[in-house]
Amino acid sequence: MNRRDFVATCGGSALAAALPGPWRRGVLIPPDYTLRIAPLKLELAPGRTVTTLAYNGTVPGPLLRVREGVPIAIDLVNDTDHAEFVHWHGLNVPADVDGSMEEGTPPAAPHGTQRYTFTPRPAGSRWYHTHAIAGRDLHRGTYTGQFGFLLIEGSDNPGRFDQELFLALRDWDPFIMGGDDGFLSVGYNHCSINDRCLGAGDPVRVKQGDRVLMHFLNASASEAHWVAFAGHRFDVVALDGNALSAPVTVDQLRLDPGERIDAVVHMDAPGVWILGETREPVRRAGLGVVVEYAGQSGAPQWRAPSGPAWSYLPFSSRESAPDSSAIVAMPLVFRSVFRGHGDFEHWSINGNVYPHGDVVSLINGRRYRLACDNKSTEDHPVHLHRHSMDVTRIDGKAVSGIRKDVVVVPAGAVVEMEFTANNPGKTLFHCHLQDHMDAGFMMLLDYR
Amino acid sequence: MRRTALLASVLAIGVIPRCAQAQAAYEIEVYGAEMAVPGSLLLELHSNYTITGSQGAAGGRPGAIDDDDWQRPAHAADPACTSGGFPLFSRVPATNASFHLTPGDAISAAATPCNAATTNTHAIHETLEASTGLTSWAELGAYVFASKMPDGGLQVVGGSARLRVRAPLEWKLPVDAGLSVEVEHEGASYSPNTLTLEIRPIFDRSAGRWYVSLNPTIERTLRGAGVTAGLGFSPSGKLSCDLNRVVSAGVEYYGAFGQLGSFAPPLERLQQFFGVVDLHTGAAWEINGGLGVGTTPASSHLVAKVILGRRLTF
Repeated sequence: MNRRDFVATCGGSALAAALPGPWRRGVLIPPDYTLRIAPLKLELAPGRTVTTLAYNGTVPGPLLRVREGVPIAIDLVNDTDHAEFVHWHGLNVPADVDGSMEEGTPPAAPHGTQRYTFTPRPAGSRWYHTHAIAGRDLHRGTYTGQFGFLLIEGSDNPGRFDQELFLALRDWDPFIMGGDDGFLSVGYNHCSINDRCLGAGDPVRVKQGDRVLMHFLNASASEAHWVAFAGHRFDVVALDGNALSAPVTVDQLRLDPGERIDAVVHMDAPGVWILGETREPVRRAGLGVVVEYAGQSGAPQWRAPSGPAWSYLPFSSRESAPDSSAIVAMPLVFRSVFRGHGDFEHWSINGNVYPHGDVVSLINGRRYRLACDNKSTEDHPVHLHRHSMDVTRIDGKAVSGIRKDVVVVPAGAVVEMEFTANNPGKTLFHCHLQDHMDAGFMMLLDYR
Repeated sequence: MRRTALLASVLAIGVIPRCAQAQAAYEIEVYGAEMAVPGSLLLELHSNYTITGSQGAAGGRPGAIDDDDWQRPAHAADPACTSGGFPLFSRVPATNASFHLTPGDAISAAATPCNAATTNTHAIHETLEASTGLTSWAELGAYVFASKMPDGGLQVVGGSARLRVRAPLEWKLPVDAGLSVEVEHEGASYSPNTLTLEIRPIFDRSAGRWYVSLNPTIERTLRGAGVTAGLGFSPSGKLSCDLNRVVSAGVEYYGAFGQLGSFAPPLERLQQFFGVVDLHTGAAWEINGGLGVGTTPASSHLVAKVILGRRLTF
């Protein structure tokens, strides 16, 4: 037990209960960070202003740079009229502070404060975001600007770099699109990287010869994004914050909601370039940023990437897969559930539309294989809370060395990933698309 | 496709002229707000077959709006359509299905009363429609109309051009809304009104398995005998339910009330109800069908309709 845990535990008494605000809940020391949720009028570009909710009045919220294994306390101050949760995405934290209602984390009450005390691990690029249900209220949940980067610094050295960029891909001003032959879905009017549309903010300024470490995060509620950097390539060093055994060079990146990619870019092509979405309409909607070399000027240039389509396969290492004899297989079949062309599609895992279905019981210490069989026509970025998953097989092809907390299971494909039940408590598994998780694409695991 | 492109000849045209603002005669369709997207071309063949036709203008009553002449409020009280109760400018079949009548011919054809019941029975009407998206909120369409009487050959009657716009989804309106403006030309040998205008507001909404659409349509003659007739009111609507992912079933209503501000008597209006089925077989196809029943003497009593649509991308 560390100092902060000790104080928190000992303070959980009548004395603490009598204290106001953040001093409640047995916490007698000030927080390391405070996140305050409040409305924000955000100008993405001239003439493109959205009203959203954000942490501390910025989008993304403040960068939380913490040390692995060093406990922290974070207060969530909720200046809204509804309960809120903040989820520490990619961290192996206890269920009661993970920020998920389904796991039993207490909410930050309307106009109340909730303290989260935990020991951050594992090291790498993590993030935090609201975990509130949105449903058809597109002013809630991850449709809002409630997200931020959380970088856990460990002993690993990511390598030399001259500049570090945190780039969050976002879609804004959501609206519900008609069902037509399909079903309702969510569209967006604007896109951005961080808080600015392409061309609206200051360019990223670099120097020739620089090595720039880019931390990409797809913080969209429901849209996958493909990103390329005209005239440059990416040396991918980590997926979801977990280091690869060796960098892999690619022309473009794909990030589904919740995914992160760390990549180093060698600045060896002087000019003024666009780093942005490969799809022109999305780029025109704002998803991009101008990168300007020192001493260069002119209109920013775009070049479509020429490399192969994105896949996890190139990131597989040559390491042999671990012995799988003791692994418990857990087949998971994803299907869509039709509720009318005028409704959102609902989703089932093994026939159960959450909250229907039993909690899946696990055994502490055992290793499990999630064999995800996507019988639907949509890709699903599935996220396992409080654990990391090792991708082991993609449509029959064995892979290794890919550790993630969000894994895209393409439409019609089977993807297998393994995890070790080493963080007891309720554990949520769900599609990271807000409209999917709100429509039943969740499953609760539990073990003691 | 949610748009209920159910076209059919509620108004069994051909024997009796499509007078005044009659462009809707070949197109029995409740529009939805959805439209073709840029880069796509939607080709649709609208076919309808009049199983049992109308009894003429309100069963032969003079001055009534006729099923085959449903937008002729100006003529509803026309004294020329009195003797024998036949409509003015009637394309009277006489002994065969020769439609080569001018308005003057029609007048001279007054010997044939318009209570010649079910003259449109077994009529076939075909409409070829092509539409393409200009933007995400605008669509351009064109039609060619043709009809075939039981004892005649296929006749190309005319064509029309249509511009549709819709409120962008980004506006987040509580209902989807649009507006269709259509100009139709018909040969003088087929109609005394050779140029007509249709303005069709569109409101629709999906909620779960349910879908509702309303088209309070206004029509006007731009060139021809009905040019002074004013505005005709022809509402239509649809209510349907998704039985499953592929099949939706519902009811469509088509009415023609006559001139705005001076509606025809209830029995002389057109009232048709269709039981319809939409098949959602994918983005490439539109398949719709229905069976309609007229509830007034002026309406065709039983009409079958089918739409087959194919969406192409370019």
